Amino acid sequence: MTETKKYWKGLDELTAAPQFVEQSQKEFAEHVPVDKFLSDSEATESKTHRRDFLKYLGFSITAASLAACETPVVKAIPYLNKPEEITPGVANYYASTYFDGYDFAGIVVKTREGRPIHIKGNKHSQITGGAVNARVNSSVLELYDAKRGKAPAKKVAGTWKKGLEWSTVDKEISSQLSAVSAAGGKIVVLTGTLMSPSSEKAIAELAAKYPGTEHVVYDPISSAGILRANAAMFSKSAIPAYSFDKAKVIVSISADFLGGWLNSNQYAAQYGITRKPDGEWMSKHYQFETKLSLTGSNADVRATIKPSENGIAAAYLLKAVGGSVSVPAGLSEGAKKKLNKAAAELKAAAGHSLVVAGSNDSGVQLLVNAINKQLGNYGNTIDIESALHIRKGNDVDFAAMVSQMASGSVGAVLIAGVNPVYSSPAKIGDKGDFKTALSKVKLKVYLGDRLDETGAECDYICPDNHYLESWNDYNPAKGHYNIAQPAINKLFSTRQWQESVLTWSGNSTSFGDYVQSHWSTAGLVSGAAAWNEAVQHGVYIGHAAPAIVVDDKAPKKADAANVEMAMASAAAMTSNEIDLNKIASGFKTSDKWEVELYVKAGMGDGRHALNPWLQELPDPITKVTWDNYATMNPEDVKELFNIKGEGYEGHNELYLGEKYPAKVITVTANGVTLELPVYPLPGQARKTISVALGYGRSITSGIAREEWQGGLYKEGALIGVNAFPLISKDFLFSNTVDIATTTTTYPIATTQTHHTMMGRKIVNETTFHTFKNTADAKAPGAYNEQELLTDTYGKKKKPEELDLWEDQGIGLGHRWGMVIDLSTCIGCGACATACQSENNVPVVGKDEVRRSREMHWIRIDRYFSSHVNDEKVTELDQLNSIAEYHTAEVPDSDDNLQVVYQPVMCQHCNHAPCETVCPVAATTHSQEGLNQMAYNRCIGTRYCANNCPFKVRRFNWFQYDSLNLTQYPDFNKINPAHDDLGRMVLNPDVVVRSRGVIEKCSMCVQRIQHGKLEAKKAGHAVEDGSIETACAEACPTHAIQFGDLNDVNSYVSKASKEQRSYTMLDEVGVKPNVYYQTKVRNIEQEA
Amino acid sequence: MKLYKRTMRKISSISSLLFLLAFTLFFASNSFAQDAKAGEKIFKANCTACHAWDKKVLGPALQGVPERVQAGAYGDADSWLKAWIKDNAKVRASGDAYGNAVFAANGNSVMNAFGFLSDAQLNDVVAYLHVGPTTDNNGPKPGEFDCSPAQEAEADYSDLYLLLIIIGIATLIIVIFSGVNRSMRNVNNLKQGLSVEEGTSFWDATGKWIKSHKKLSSIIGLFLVLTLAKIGWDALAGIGVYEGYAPKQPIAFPHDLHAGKNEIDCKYCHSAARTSKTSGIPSANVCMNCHKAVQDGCRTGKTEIQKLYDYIGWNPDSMKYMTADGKMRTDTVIEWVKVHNLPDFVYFNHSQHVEVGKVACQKCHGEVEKMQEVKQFSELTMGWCVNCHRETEVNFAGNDYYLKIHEDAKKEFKHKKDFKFTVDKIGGLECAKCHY
Repeated sequence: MTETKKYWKGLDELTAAPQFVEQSQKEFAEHVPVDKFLSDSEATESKTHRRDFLKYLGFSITAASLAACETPVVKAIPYLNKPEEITPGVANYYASTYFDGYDFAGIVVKTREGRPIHIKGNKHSQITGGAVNARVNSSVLELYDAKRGKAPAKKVAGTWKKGLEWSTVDKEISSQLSAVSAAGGKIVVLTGTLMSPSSEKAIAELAAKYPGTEHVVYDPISSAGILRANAAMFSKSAIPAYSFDKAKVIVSISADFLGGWLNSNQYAAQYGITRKPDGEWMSKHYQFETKLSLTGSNADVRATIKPSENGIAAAYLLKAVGGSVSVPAGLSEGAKKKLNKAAAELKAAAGHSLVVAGSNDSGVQLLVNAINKQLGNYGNTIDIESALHIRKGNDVDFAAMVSQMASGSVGAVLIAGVNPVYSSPAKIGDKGDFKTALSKVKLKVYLGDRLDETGAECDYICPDNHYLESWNDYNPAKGHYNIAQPAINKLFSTRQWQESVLTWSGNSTSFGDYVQSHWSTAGLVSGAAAWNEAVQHGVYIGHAAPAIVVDDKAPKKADAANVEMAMASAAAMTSNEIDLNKIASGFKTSDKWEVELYVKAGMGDGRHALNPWLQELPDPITKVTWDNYATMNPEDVKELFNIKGEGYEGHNELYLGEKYPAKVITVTANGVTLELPVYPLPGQARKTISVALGYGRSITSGIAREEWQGGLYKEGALIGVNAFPLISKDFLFSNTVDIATTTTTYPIATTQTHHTMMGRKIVNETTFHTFKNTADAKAPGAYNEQELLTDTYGKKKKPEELDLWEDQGIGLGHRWGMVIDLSTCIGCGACATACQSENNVPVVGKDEVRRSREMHWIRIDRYFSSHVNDEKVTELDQLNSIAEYHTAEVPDSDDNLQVVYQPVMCQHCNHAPCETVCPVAATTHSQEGLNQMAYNRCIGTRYCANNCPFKVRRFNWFQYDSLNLTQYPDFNKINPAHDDLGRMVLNPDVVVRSRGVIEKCSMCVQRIQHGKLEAKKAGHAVEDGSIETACAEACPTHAIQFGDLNDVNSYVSKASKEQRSYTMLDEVGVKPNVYYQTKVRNIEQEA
Repeated sequence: MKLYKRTMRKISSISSLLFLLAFTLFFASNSFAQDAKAGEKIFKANCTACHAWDKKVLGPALQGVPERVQAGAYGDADSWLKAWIKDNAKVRASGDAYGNAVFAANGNSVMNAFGFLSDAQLNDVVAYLHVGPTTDNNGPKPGEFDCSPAQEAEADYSDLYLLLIIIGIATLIIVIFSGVNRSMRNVNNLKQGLSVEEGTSFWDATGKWIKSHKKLSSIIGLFLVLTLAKIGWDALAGIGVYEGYAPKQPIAFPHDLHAGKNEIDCKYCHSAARTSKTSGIPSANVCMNCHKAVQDGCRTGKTEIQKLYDYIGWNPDSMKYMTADGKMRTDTVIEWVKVHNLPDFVYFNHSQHVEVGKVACQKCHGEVEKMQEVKQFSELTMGWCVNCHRETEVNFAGNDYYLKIHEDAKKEFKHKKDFKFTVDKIGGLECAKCHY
């Protein structure tokens, strides 16, 4: 029996639901609701006759021609005193550092005429090595957020008095702090993880000035479990340095290390290195998790476990690798089988393997530590000595502080960099929520950047700078230092919070000077030249500088009377000897519903909620934009909603699309009930749901487009639902929940079913063994077989030998192309936001996405796949294949689903079908292999989009960039190009497209032009790698590579000729300039 | 008046600053003798931004400076001067009394260090300081300088108008002659006793003539229609083309004086043309490099230059900025009116043309050095761009970037007899070269 593989983009394609089939035939979603966007009802009932119309037409043409005769006066205003480093029209780059308490990355900020417009990774950074995720490269947009705090504000009798002077608030706050301190009251400085030596010194100055000041560190997405486990085991409260690039076997128990776990930028870069099959070995990745995460979707082997089975899985694995521990009941047979397999491979690769766990339960982390110890991974793939400082928040300290606040013993609280009213559980320890406790504090000062959830509960708001306006220093790991420098002057009357703290401590130094003097007194750099060099590079490696190191301090012992941490391991941890058996026996699973709270690759912990680029970035797995939801196994959905039908009949109810809203359930835990739409997601553990954190921010009310929707969205509705209250009181990001169905529905905007490849084999994959043992991959029957065509005379010919078109002159000069390695693409989406930033791609909003009008120039297609045999293929074709889906998706089955990601942008075909159908020659081919798009020539027939086999062309349905707010009121709420401030982020080298024209990937032609010009000016040939497209530059795993295919020495020209390489739809003969490389999985049998 | 003349001379010398600097560096090193004339050149190239001979500018007037210097530890005045010019901060740091006094007397404004000057050059400069400005330098002699605006060539009448006039005259002649002809015939008719021809109206006559000359009249008709069509087409094609556009500027800046008479290099002020896509409008601090000293315009006297001073808050009498912090004002804007406007969807890069292509500014902007008020010289239409790209050969000599592509192009177009490596051969006509 031959095995085949079937790819599908969603359940609807697998089962060929009629809506899907109908939809897939269309490039553009039909049913343009003309009457809706001409919302003026009179306009549709107008009595304009044909003759009147002709009169108007004639008049307007005449008027337009007359108006055109007048020379428009354009002013050109130069600098009065031009700064030496700025030349209008030339970009400047500044090295800096991004750290918001969650993500860390060394970055380079591109500025034009003083405005930061684009962020890329800093290759000098030894920690992240130039990798930035979507959250980091989108952060530039938040600088131009008009909703940021613009001046200090004070709450007087319940109303905010805004626009105060800094000197006024400084005076008031200082005197009140003095009063609190003099009365023996406690002052708490509550921050996220800082890892900034100078910031911590500034807080120490405050503590010196006001005795009784305490610094509490709190991370919304806490990793305190790891800190506690390492403190217990190694007496070191720290995150160890992991080396995913050295691990031959990687086992992750619920750690989404590519999406958001700890220093995910660094891990993604490391992971990419060994996922390339060209070396001697490639890493083998096992994932055991609840929801299909970004990391899990990249795993070679994956099995599902419930959140409560994390500890059991760790104990099982520990026993299987030779540890002595008793394993509690739980885990499915399938998971056990895969754990056994993983254990065998771990043992074989002892010392070159890595086991990580995402749980915040220190018991799980202790078991994982024991596994790594057993395997001898410490000192090889894990370095506990040079720890990362990226998470230092301690839930125990935080809970203790909250209970002190609730009891009224805290006199003043200064909150900086965190938003605990939004991001803390509904029950903290045994107390209530943070908000109630906060109200008991007399002086509450918020040092965040705006009036948000926490700000609203405080007395003063002292708005913080954006990080691109601030100085900072970071000590991400022992001996590694990073500097953040401002890339623009302050836009508003804001002040960096460190400077506020310094001011109140009586130190009037600016924080920039403060950082510099701290570095020089600590002996880190001596002299202005060394300092300037450190600032210029953004990084500084100084191992011999103990004075400034932020030490890995031991955790404070929690006050057991106040905080009862209900952790299974709590008892075991306090004793000196770690009793793993006791820890393991504490883990129990039940058959109750469980919720797993996770972090989306696009949203993080919620601080980017007002960033439309990130809101519109489709989630890597679900491809849903602008929302969070409860993911649930489709079988569970069917059971829960009592869906009986088989095949597409049954799946009708699971279809999510413009006309098919999601079902809604209520989820109750911690005494909080949330209403959440349900997303049926294959690969989810049974009887579990997963909900993304970071949504439902109060600041997002009003950026959904409610008025346009005729009541589809509620007035003032938030984007998504805040799931933080569901966090268990011991800060585990999972909980047992009660679930009930409702009869309501909720519209969801997903890009999943759009732009389908119509079932053709577009992605190609093979196994590591096959790849290594195939001499000619293109031969018939090999994994990269080239499809042959039959000519008129019945002869078999290669597609390139048959041609409808005349040959394009592609031999002269450059031929720009790309090679995209499907093995290393992890699907994170950093390329999509980088492209959006570089190319002024508009944001269209949830409603337009629902109409399939998203504008992203690069999309990442996500294909699920499962093994099906020939009989089943026939069965699938007969549209009643849900039984097949059963065998593929039930976790017990070995036959689990796999995922392939494929970034697709314009393929720049040398024989482009779009070019031949354009009636006005608006899209043409360049000698350098680019498919060019002249917007000013396009008349919007959309023939090109219809004729594109790759569905990469985008149509501007509206004037997305219009400043005419009365005409297009809807886009100004979501589109950065819609207010004067937001427009500052636009790249001046790229035209902002207007309504009615087609646009698409230009292969960053502005960068090509720039790179060529630089080479010409310098008088040498274009060096390989000197020109990079935004997507290639942003890719943390270097899966996307760009270069000159005509340059025999370039990476792309070599890689495009490799055995693994192929072009999409080769048999069509369009000859794309974008090559893909076959995905190689490290699994035994042929996939 | 004398001062005025001298000022003008200074301006003219500024135009050749860079050249002079290179020149003097090259030659001065060969002559060890103290050469006041060579010193004057160095002086003009480096010092005149801040120093005048007989007038305080930023620094003190230099007349008689060798006499008044108190050399102190430096022994003699010349040694002191040389040390001071080379690195005055060092002299002051050494505790030299006179140096510090001079520094304080001039408002603590810091003088640049001129460490790049060789000892020979320093000797020359000091020699010059003993002698002072020579009268027979390269500048125009008093009374010689003509600062009236350059004459601009009159526009040509187009052939079309000439043709129309000829046609008009011809028509008139035909009408007159046909009238005369009829009168003559009538005289003859009267003599012979025949009836007199009635004078027909012009239209009747024309109609009659057309009937009798069908071929000729249809040719003329066709010609007229085509002429009208051509005029109409040109008028429509001219919409949005602002050739000759010369808006009034907030400060009447005479390019003919700066770039023409004073021969200041275009790229001294528009320096961004070398590096950027825009040529850049010079910021006021660039103007002030010269106009700290040059306070009187040769045509408009103080009025126009005073406008500049008003924008930036400069007081020409006290030679200081009038702002509280003693710096240039930053709260005003000089709203120059852009003369050469390209639409937003066009990418044009000055540095590509100026640096790589070595195209002269005048090729597109016309003889700006002869324009009192800058006007748009070229039509700046796409046809105009494309035409130039078709005709212009790539300036590839000595640029390795073009090595391979030139070889490739020679192969590609080997069947062409007189192959020219023009811009369009390497994609100079493609959409995405200018539109993206």
